[in-house]
Amino acid sequence: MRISTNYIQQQSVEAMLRQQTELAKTQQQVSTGERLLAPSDDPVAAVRILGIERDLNLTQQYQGNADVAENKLSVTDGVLTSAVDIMQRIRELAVQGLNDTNDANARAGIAEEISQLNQSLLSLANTTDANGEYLFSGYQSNTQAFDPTTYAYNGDDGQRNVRVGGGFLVEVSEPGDQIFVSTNLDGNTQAIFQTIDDFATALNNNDLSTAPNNGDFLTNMDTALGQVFGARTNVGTRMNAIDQQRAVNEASIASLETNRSQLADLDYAEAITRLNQQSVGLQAAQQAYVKVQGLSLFNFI
Amino acid sequence: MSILNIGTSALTAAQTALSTTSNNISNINTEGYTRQRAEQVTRPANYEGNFYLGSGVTVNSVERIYDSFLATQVRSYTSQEAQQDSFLSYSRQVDNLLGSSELGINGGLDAFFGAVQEVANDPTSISARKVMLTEGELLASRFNTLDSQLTQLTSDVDNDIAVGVDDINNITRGIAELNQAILEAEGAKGSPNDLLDKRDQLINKLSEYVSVTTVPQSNGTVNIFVGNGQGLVVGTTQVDLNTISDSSFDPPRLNIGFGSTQTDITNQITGGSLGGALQFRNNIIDNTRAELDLLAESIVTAFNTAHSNGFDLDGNAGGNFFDPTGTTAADINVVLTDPRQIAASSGTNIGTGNNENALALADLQTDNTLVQVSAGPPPVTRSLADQYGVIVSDVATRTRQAEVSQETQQALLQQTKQRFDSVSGVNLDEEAADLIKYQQAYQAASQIIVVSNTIFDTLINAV
Repeated sequence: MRISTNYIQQQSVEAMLRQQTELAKTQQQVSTGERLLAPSDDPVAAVRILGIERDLNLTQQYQGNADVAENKLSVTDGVLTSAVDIMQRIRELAVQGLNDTNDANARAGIAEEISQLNQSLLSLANTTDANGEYLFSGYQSNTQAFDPTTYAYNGDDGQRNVRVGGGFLVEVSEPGDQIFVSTNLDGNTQAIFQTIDDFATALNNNDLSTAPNNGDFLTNMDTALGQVFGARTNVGTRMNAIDQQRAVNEASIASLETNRSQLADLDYAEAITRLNQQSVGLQAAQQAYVKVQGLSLFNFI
Repeated sequence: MSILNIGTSALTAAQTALSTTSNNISNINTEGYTRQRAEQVTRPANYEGNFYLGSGVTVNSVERIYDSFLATQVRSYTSQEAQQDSFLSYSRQVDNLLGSSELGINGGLDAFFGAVQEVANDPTSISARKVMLTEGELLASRFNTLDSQLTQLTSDVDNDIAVGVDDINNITRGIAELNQAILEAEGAKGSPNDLLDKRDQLINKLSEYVSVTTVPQSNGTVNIFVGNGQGLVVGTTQVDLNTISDSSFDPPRLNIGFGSTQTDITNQITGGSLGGALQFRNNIIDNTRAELDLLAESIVTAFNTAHSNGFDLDGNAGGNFFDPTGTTAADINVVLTDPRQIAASSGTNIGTGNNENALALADLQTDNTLVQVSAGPPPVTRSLADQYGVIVSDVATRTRQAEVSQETQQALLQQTKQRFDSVSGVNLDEEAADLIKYQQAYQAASQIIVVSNTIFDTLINAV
């Protein structure tokens, strides 16, 4: 077949340009490490990557949320542990005080210590976190949970939830009335601080003959302690659940990242091989051009 | 007939052939040049009583070596390739915009809803609330930026149309003038090869702008039609295309009108860079903008509704988070300014620590019913991220398709051009061989003159 001289020239130039374009693309892939330079390079993969990235961001957000939840719960756990210690000490003191071998003076001394401990217990119930929020007043987090004089509960029964997984909301707060308000043997429902305060007063007055400030007090303390233990158990259970969810999140982050990498990341070995092939191809095209251009019958006329 | 005459005719013929060859060589780099051949034929023989005696050679014509079927194919593929090329150069821009991590809506959604979760984690924190407001504004500004980029591309298309229409008019005017010149030249003898080359070149150039139909006439002129039969050039008259403003769009965009009546023929225009730009405007811009607007509207409506269900840090009922009047990608904006007014609390146990509504707002991110694509029944709905995924995938798929078909068209165009060139293009080796061939013919013809001279001398000396 006859071909025109210009066509030979054009074909060689076009071949070189094409090789250069391909080489430039590979070079860009290698320098960015990305397989896809634009969604159109692989539309299906590009959209899957978008979905994976959303899930990845969400799961990473859940991990951050889990940190927040765990922090909050561990502060609560610490406070409840201290509360249990104090309440047990109060109970010990009460047992001691109830013992008839004590005279009025001794009882007054014990009552003084119980009152002090009661104040500490109250201030634990009114603990604020790093943000100045009251831990135990439900959603009324800027209101003191328990009135320091009347011991009335000023919070509500709102329980804050934090999302730590796709389908997993975890409660991170305990309303104070479910921890520190209990029903006594006589049917009265009141804050434990009131119960303790009443007992301390009776102890101070050396008058431990009438309920509830007699042996009943110990039973009432046990009921209250039971509630605090219950709350601690709840907190502990949730912290465990968060840890488990964290492991689940960790695993799904790892698998999402693997998927993302398979779709989006460049196979360097393949890309560099391709880069070499393409530069060899370009060199060949250039050499072929020079060789072919030198061929002309006019050289021999 | 004398030997001298025959020799002279051979000299002249060889000279003409050498000129034609030289012309071919000298036009090796002239765009649109078609190689020419001197057609040599025998001169009429003389009847010498009982036999015919040849009387030498003459050049009948200098012809273009030209295949009109291949020329038409080249034009047709030129138009198709130019269309894909123009479409592709535009749609690649949108493809890159949508896929960019700085401008893509997906990143904005993730960041915004992440900030909502932080408010849910810590509803009393003013700084978390401020971040949520800022991320909301950034999300809105991603929408606004994408939209303004699409608007910019629309005005680029307008610009292409305006420039294209001008160029087309210049080209068709040139074709009409050449038709006139060819008509006059064909009246005389011989084919006006250079005029024909010029006209073919103009028609090829026209094909780069728009797909045309050419109808050659017996008098040598060519009629040129676009769309479904609008005659741009008929004989020696030419009709202008013009731009007309279509104000049914905001901002108004340009359409293509035909003739003095300015009949809108935009939808009939196919092929060429104009066809590609129009295809991009119809398929990519309009679609992408409609889908983006739907996404923006869904966010504004759903978020505002959920936000209004809640109560702010001061216990007041929540208002609109986004401006309820800005429901397009162009207009979406955050109307809330005071971070305390973010309604994180639900209606039960309204309080500063209540994060129930913030959780509800955060859940919108993965709500699969948020974007209603069609009312049904059954209704088709998607999540926000999926809606954006659909937008990206639409553009990416169309761009990918255009890439593939552009490569195909380019290959077809090259093949056809090669076939056309193999007929009409100059090959220097061939011309060099011709040069030698005709030089030898010229030398041989000179020998005829010498011989004739010698014979004549012999005769003279004999006297």
